[in-house]
Amino acid sequence: MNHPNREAWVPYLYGETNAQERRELATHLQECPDCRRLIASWQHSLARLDAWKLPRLRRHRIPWLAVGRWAAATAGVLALGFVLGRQTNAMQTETLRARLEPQLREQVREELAPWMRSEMNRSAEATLAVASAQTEKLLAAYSTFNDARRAEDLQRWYVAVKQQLDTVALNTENGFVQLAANQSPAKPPVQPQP
Amino acid sequence: MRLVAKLSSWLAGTDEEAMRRVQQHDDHAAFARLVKRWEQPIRRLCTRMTGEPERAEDLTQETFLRLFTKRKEYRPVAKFSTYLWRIALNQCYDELRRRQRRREFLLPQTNDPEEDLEAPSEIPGPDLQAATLEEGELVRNALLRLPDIYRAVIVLRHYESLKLGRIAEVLDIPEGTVNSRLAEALSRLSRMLQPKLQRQSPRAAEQSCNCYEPSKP
Repeated sequence: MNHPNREAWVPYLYGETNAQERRELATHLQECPDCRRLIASWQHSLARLDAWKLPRLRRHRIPWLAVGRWAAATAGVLALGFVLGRQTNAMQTETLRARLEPQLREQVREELAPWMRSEMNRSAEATLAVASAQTEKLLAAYSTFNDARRAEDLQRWYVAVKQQLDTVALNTENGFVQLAANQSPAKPPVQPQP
Repeated sequence: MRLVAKLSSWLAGTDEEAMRRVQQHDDHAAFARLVKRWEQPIRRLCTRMTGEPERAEDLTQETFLRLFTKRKEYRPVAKFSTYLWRIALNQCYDELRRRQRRREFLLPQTNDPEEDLEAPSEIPGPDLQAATLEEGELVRNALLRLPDIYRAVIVLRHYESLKLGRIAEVLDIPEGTVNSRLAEALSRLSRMLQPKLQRQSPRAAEQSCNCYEPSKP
């Protein structure tokens, strides 16, 4: 029996032959068990290829989660500083506390509130700037999201947060200095009274 | 689904038009459209060619990076996608060559280099596979054991549904060669995926038919 070449079956298998070729090959297939077996084994293999599923493809995103985590950490540190400041006040003597507490509290609140607000604004701006710069780079070269850059961003965030921490520490220290300053002029009027 | 894709691509302009804008005006938005449209097919191709999703991720980025850095070299004689498939495939071939060199460097030479090429040592043979691996993994391993040029035609035709003529354009070879590579790929896959069946019939069939041309890689 005169068999077609092996590669002639490839377009047949994928439905890419013209009508006449298709008819001829189909006729041959009906008559030839060898070719039928060959095509059946190819079809069987092809059907099994679909078992290799790829994992759902992830889309790259700006790492908002990391950004959010750092923002939360910053807010936490600020809150801790605030609470610590208040508790330090509580450890003063009763009289001093009675006199200074409302004043100090007001002072701390006045100082901290705008500072905190501006810090948060600044970090939000920095976040946006980093994010938009990244997006720009992504469009330009599509190579922005490699590990090195991400590590660099984290490093940048680390530095920023460390700066903020330093500022908090400085402010707390300033608070203490002011507290001490307030304390000394406050004492003389207390003693002569009794 | 395909109709929706066609319609949206018609509304957003053709790939060729977008590429022309990238080429002439460094148009970032046009480039972003090309990336959005093609990153998933390219990532699939790279994953099937290398078998490693993480590495495929890098190769996809390198493909688009190359597309952009070499944008002036694009000539709109062929379809944009033909050009892009070719870049991606070349990235994959480079990666596979690097991997092959690493393997040769790390592993002692075997007596039969052919055998080493076809059956990398970390991939178990068919019998062990059948007993231990699930179907998807079995197919993946069989494909990875194919020589690269056979795997490429299977990936482009079966998984990415490119017509035989388009594959010939992408690989820059005659359509007849695409057909013979696919025939060889399918026979090798059948031998790996159906070892028992093959021992009984089709291999015997291929041998008994003197018309079947001897398979050459």
